Amino acid sequence: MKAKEYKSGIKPIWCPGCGHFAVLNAITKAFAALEQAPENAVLVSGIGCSSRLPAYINSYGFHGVHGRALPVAAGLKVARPDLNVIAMGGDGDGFSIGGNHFLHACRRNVNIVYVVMDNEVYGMTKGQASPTTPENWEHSKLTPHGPEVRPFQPCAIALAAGASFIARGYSGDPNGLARILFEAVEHPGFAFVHVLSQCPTFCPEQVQWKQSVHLEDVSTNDPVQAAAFLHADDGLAKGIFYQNPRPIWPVEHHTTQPVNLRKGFEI
Amino acid sequence: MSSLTLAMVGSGGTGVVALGEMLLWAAAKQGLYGMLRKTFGPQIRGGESAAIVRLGSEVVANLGSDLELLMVLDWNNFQRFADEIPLTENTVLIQDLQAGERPPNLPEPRQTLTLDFLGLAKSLGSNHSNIVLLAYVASWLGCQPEVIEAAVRHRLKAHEQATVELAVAVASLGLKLSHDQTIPLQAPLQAPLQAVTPSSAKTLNSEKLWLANGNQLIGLGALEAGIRFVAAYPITPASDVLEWIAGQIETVGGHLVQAEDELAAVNMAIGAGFGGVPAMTATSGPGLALMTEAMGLAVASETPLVVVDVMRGGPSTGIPTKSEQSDFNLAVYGLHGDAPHVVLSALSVADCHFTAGWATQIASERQTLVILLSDQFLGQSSQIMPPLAKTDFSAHINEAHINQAQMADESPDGPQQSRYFRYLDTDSGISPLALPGQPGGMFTADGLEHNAAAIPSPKAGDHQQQLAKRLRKLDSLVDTDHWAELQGQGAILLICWGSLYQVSLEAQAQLRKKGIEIAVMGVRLLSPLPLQKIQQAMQQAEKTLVIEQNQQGQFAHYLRSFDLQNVNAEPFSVKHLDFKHLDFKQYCRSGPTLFTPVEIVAQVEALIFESKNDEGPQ
Ligand SMILES: Cc1ncc(C[n+]2csc(CCOP(=O)(O)OP(=O)(O)O)c2C)c(N)n1
Ligand code: SF4
Ligand SMILES: [Mg+2]
Repeated sequence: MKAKEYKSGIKPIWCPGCGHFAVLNAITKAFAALEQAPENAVLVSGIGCSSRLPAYINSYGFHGVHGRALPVAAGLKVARPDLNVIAMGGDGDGFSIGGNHFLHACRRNVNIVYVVMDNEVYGMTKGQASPTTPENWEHSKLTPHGPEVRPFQPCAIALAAGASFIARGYSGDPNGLARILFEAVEHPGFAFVHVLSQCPTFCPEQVQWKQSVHLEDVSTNDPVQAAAFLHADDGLAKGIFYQNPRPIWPVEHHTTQPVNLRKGFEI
Repeated sequence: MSSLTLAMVGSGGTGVVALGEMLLWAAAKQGLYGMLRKTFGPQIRGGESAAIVRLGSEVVANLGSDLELLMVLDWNNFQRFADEIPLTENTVLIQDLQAGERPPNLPEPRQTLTLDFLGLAKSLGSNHSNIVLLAYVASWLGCQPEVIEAAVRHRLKAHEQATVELAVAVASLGLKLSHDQTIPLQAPLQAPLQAVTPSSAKTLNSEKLWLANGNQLIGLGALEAGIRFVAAYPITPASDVLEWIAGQIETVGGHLVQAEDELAAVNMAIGAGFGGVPAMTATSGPGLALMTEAMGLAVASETPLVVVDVMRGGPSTGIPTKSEQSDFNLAVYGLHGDAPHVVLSALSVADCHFTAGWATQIASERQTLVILLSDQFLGQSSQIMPPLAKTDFSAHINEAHINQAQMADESPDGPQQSRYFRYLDTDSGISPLALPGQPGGMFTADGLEHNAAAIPSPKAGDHQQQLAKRLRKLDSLVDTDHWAELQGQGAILLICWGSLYQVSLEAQAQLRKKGIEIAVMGVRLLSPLPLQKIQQAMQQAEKTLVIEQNQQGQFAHYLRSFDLQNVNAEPFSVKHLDFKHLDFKQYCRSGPTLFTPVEIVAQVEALIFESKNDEGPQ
């Protein structure tokens, strides 16, 4: 199938210039390259502008509640390992309300991909600070002095929590993102793809990303090297940073033959 | 039925719970029925504990009202259980020589025996006064020595040979003690005792009896009906549902995931359910509260989901180890928006199996959320029972009529291509359901309001259509026979739900002995409530009494909220109703003490007395 055939035909609700369009395009390109059978892919999301994406792809989708894309995706994948399950959402969805699931998804290592479209803001609720908003960003009425809280470091945290694939893409480079997504799907285990996805409506300053984003395909399998790199990172590096496959969950225990569930009750 | 209730109390390490378990096991081997309730203090391990065992010649499904025999290895902290262990003037007390002082303010027992159980154990170098006591009491009850020894060996099967042999030797001292010292039994203790001795107990059929608790039976019912994915977050008293399943589910090709919290657990189950794998989670009040947002998602996205709530004392952390029926409101009303869903209650330990199977089937066939309410009493009381029949329930997901559901989207701003109408507005309200992997069925399930083609839509027409569809698909549930158990007929109808049903049946039997006939209804289908059927039953009685174990009368309130007068009750015509008869009285009180048959009998008698006075001259 051609990339554009992976679009569902439903018109996105996004503002013109929203970075999430590029993520949508990158997913269709990755699917084309993967020759993905549309009925075997499921996109699972939470709530936010970014989380509206699944309906726009010609595959199965599940648009759940705010922050819970990862558990829905994990439950689906454990129950249906035959499916290609991709969880996705925004920085608020994934790092704030869903932050606990992010940590545990990294360590659990279920074989799914998780794409976070990070615009450093709550787009859908009209521009409040998110966990990745710069400390001094003063454009939200809710935090007039800026959040005054150190931003969350998604990739470093993913590494510390045990993610076995960590990469960053940029909405200004959909082809580069498509390549990363292709690798993420091929990776056995939990693959975290952090995407700088601009919100021109609430963070017009993000147009500058175009100039500052730089390619750093570190692609190490050494966690110490990856940690050193991620702690020095200015947050605008893109590329695959870390890839170190480890056993995926669930571990299959080959149980012999069906037992009589009732036997244990007999006296 | 004749029965005998025994309680055993001790502090850390005296092993009274083990004693109760061995006693129940031995009784079962002798062909008796019985039930065991364990109760613990707040300590995690050690600490004081108590066990209550009721033995009977027929199936014992509640703990009754009276305590015939109290066995105390240690009086320390007895007060913590005093509420749950009602010592009366009719109770016979057996206490250890070293049990300490009997607390003041307790009624004088009918008879007190003080024996040196610990001293006997120590004479063999053991601390197991509980095993001496077990052998003593079991033998007194008529258990054969081989059975008592087998009970000890069964209990200690994971231990080293030397430990087991020492325990068996200790038991033989207890046996000897019972022969040396025949207790001069005093009426009325004698009668029930003789009746429950194996000689008079019904001879067993060839099938082996079962020993099970409600939590395990929920697991069995769910797995037998086809649950193949379970997500778990530990919480008392629901953990043993999950732990039992964890030990079994892989053998039937399913998975259990320990989630990071209840939010994850319920969403994982929803993910699996969306994938077409029947899924469940189990929790208690605090966890159910955390799950409510996602339960609404299951309703809106029409994803099959079973959530089991083993209720404990609330609110907040409440009383984790004790039973109460106070999550009714949360289960019925807890979801935001207009979110029709199914709430079931298990009516006995054995019924946990049936109702879990039914819950699994309803969730799949109606594509929605089913909450199953059990409680700590049902969940954690072990009961001897005849083997349970397999049910016909199955998590059968209707094969999607994919082609039928494929049609052009005609909405003006919709795309031109054909779509799968996942949320098609059908007569039954149940829509075609394609599962991931099926070509041609692609759709995005959504908690956002959507149209029939699963496209998000805030339009009034779509909202009304989808709301009505989700409500309508539950309509026909009220026609099933499983909605309630109804026993007997009489001037008084007693309505209850959950674990109170079995206690009510015993109250009914006690009233019958006094010449009073009542009808007892245990409601299994709490939501949607089969109002017409309840109304019919109420019309056949003169007075209705609703009882439940929560402070506010949550179910009674709910029942009152329906304008029963306006329910179009066929075959009775509304116009001919005597509305006075649709009133009901309620008797509601909180846990953690269990309802007793005597307590219910008193309420029914009070109601009868009141009615007689009503009829007097004005
Ligand atoms: C439980 C709950 N709390 C709050 C909201 C409101 N809400 C909707 S989207 C959103 C934030 C979305 O931000 P993000 O995930 O970064 O996505 P974006 O819109 O920026 O793509 C919030 C707070 C909600 N839908 N549900
Ligand atoms: S508000 Fe921002 S994130 Fe949301 S659609 Fe508009 S540009 Fe995109
Ligand atoms: Mg955002």
